[in-house]
Amino acid sequence: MSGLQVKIGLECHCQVTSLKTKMFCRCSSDYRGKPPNVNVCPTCLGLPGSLPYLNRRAVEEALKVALALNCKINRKMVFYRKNYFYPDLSKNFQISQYDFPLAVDGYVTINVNGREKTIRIRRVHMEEDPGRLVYKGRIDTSPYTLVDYNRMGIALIEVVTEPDMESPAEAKAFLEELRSILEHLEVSDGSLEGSMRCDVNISIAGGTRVEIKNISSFKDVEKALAYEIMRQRNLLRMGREVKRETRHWDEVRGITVALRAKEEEMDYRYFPEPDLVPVEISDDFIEKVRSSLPELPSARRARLVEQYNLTEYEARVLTADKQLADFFEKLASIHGKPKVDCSVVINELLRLLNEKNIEVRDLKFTPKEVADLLFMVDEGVVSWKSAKYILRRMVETGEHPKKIAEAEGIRRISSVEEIEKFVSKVFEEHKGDVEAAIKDDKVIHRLVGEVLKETRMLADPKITFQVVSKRIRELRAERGLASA
Amino acid sequence: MARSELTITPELLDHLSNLAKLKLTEEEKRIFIRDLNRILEYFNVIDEVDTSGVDQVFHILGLTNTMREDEVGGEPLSQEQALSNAASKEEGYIKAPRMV
Ligand SMILES: [Zn+2]
Repeated sequence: MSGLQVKIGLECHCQVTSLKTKMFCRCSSDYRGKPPNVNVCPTCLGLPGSLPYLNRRAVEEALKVALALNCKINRKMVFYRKNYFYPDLSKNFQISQYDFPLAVDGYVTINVNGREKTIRIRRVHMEEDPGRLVYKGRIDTSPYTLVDYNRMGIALIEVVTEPDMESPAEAKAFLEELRSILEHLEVSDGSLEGSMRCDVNISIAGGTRVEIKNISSFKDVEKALAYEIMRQRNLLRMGREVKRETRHWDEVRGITVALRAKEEEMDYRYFPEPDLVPVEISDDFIEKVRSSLPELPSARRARLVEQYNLTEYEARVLTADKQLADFFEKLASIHGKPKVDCSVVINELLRLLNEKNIEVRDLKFTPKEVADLLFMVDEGVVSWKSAKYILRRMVETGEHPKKIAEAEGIRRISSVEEIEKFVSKVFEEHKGDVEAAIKDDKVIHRLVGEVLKETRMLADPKITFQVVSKRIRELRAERGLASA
Repeated sequence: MARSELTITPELLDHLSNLAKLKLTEEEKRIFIRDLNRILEYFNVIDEVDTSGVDQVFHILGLTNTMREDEVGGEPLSQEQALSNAASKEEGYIKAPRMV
């Protein structure tokens, strides 16, 4: 079955979270966490007599994105009305783009399992975000829909790809790269709920194209695609046809559901928005924006490898999240051991972030505190093992590592005399293991483990191993046995 | 300029009234088909003008780049004002029919 070729195209809707106001009115762009329908004005509601007024910074931000995605910029862009009746837009049309979008024909290079691949960008255009619909329970059984227009009119950048991705993993890699680019540009903060959403198109073996609408986070795209591929393959295997339709991703049940059975093709009757004049984009403006572009993820990866001697893989993990890469570079600048610092960030810290399902921004400490912890390790004050535990407590409490170590009696036991006391106790309590260890070296590790446990993992494992081995050798000598 | 091939047929009118969420009586349909086809004929007259070498016009004023700064302001509405025209509401939301 895996021989059937999968083709995936993405339409990504990214909020321009760097703006203070909406796209066409002066309402605040900070709509999250507010009571419903308090962040609106006659313009974003589309009340009679109101006129849209384009936010200059929104155009600049969108241009940054288009340039970062290697697109050709149209020197003249035009806004269009996309007409449809749906309660998420009270105007009954969305101001979007159609012919003459901001930019076309770009590309992004992704890397999946060490293999590079170019994903073509068909177009980048600007449009306004619709309002938010709230359902009672599930979308397909909700008795009615509740509408909140606070979000309506937020500036969106839509990035449309060609159907160049051939697996959910490639789609995920593309979205991660796009998110990282937007974060490095400081245009969109992907960690804000609902700031990056996706529609996907998928077809198998050149068959019918199915669209999955409104996947509310990039994280869910891979899951939705995996489900949809399985569903379509099952249909094909049973000799049934895949219907051309629009489906909805139900994140609670982890399945896609048909929204409208194929009726007529959606007909949006686009026409130029008569309330907005065209925007001419001069070469000067393009060059000004181009020269202000910050370091992008691909360049940063190359620099991380070069400057800190990291592997390509390490650089990739760090730059997948701008905040994580920033955290690493700050840590390395204070602690000064990049290989160790990178390992702490991508192995220990990242694992804790994933486990607790939080973002770097949610951490209640800075790289300085992590550096303090690593200095404690360097000075032999705490063991590596304890340091990992302390880092976990830091994530949980935000306390300084020194304070955690003090409060919990964490120190490093590396004095031979002190370790010998624990060894004596363990040898007394585990006579059977001691006898076994005298006969078989492999059992020594079990005894070392018991001693470490006895010290609450505070003892230096190497020294503990040496002390235990020495004791066993002495016991063998007493019995006239040669060491195994 | 080629004359428009477009004619309003009963099927096309049904499609359009569907998109516009309008229910038309048989009598209204008959009138619309007649009137819309007449309007299309006017466009055929316009189509006869030679526009080769004339740029496409998107806006009659000929203005470009009318933009504002990114500063909060304007005339925001209170929740009460925003909902004052809503036929049905619940806890600050506008209540709409089920969608699927
Ligand atoms: Zn507004």
